[in-house]
Amino acid sequence: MTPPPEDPAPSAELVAAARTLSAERLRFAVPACLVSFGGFVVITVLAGFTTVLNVTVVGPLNLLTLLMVLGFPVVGVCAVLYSRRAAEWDRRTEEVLAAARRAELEKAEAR
Amino acid sequence: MSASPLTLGIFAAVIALTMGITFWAGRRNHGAGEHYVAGGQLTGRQNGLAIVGDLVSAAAFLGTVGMVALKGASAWFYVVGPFVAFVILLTVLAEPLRNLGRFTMADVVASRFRSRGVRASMAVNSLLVTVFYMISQLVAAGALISLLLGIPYWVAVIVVGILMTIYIAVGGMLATSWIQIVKAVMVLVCIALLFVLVLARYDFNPLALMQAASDASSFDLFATTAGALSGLNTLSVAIAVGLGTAALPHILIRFLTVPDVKEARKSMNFALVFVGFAFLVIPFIGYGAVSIVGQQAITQADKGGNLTTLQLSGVVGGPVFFAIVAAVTFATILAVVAGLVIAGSGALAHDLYNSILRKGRASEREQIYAGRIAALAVAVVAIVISLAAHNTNVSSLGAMAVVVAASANVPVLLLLLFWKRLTTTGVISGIVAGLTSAVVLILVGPQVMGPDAWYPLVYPTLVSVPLGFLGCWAGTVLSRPRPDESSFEAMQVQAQLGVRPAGEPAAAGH
Repeated sequence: MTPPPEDPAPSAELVAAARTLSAERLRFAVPACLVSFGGFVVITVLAGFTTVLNVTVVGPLNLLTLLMVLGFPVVGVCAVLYSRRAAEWDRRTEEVLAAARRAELEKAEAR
Repeated sequence: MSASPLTLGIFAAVIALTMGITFWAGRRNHGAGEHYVAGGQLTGRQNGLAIVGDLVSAAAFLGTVGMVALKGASAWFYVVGPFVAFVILLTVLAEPLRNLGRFTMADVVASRFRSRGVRASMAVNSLLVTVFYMISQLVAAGALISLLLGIPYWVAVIVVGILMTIYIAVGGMLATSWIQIVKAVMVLVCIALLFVLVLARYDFNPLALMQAASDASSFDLFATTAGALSGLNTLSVAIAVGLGTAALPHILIRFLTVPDVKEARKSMNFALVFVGFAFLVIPFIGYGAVSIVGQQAITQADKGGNLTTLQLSGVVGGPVFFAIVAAVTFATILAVVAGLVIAGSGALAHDLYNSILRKGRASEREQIYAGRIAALAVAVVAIVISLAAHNTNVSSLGAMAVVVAASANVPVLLLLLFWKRLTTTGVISGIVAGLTSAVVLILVGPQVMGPDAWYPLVYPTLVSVPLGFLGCWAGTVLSRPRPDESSFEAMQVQAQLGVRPAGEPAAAGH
């Protein structure tokens, strides 16, 4: 067995910030994945087990092809929304890390 | 088919260009960080284009166009599946992987679970996925290049094998990345030109193109057939190509080649635009092939339809465009196998040799040397098996790669990031359950056993992915945490904030 690591536990402030960020990311990721990948799985089930998606929309275009094409803008919208949220998380991450660095410096000066 | 001097000349130019990139990169390939992850110094846009190169492979450029022409609507699942999986990669995996990893996928898992068993099982899993995928690429490449250039199959395989070994041994990840970038630009230009040339014949009206394809097709090109078995097969294919493509090691290690999470996100967004464009127009190029080339001519050239893109490019663009598309196909194959060699050699040299056998004590020089030897070893094994597997069905090997990636990597990575109780035993049992169930079910499935198959579905993801999760759960509840496990909180701090524990080696680029 590998010897236990010697790394100290991260500070309570960092743990709390990481936990909040992780929860917020999940709150965004779960619905986004359900809409995109979940939607794709639903289309697959409908296309595999039924013929409802073979219905014509216009000319040769049927519902299955239309939904497949619509999958592309859905992914694009998810990416744009995610990037906006992630920019806010980046800003908060930088603030948390700057505060942690300041606390380290103060601790070092006090020593 | 024998090659024209023009085709041969453009093939030679592609080899010269990739060799030039390799020796340029070789002068910058000094340490293990440069060798495995390009020093973590690629920009988001560069890495994004390299991801485009990885995803728009010969399978997509040639295989999917042929599949649309010969199988119709079901081909859409092969382009939409990997594309919607982008959302999982972007929102869940890309940024934590960038913060947790160093050179390989095993590094990511070892950031929380430091046992040698975890690293070894993840490394063996990555190695198997990579070699399965590489053999399927090499066999397809050998058959295609021998057909295009009129050379024997074994010569084509050995030429591709030698080139990919030189790329990695000399230029490492930097060479691989730049070859992917150049190839991505070339393949995107070819796809755009082909799409415009096809659409121009129908007054730039996609509905008119679809109608012409529908009229020319011998079956309903846009409808699917419903049924219990076909439904389960469609669902298992969709999950395999979606989750599996997103979890292939040579795609995931791309996030370790950029300096921080912002660049990892930028590379995903950049890739998303161009992969989206390519995957959206590829089915329409397939419709063009049906209406312009015809299904009979397509099956006469190759029963699997793998030459459809080349046939169509010759008809709509003439011999010069045909030669360019053929050479870009060659570049595509070279770039993808090079990416696979670096992923496989990293698992062998960095995880199994340096981290386990040498307990992380190998010097920078020894690590580079081991990386080069590992690249040679991975390439030789893949070449020898590919030569022996000439007349076998290689699609089962390609399927094994994506199914194992979906069944072993996805459960472990998701639970590593979000399940506090996961233990070392849980990780190992999850990998073993996902890997073995995927391989066994493919071996007893229709791809290998034909009509006498014991398991009815072509892709076993409907069983093997849940078994991967079940393995993680069962291993966890039946075991206790080990003292060498890092806390879930420490992993979260590293994954979310990029703060590595004291004593941990920094990621490349820091």
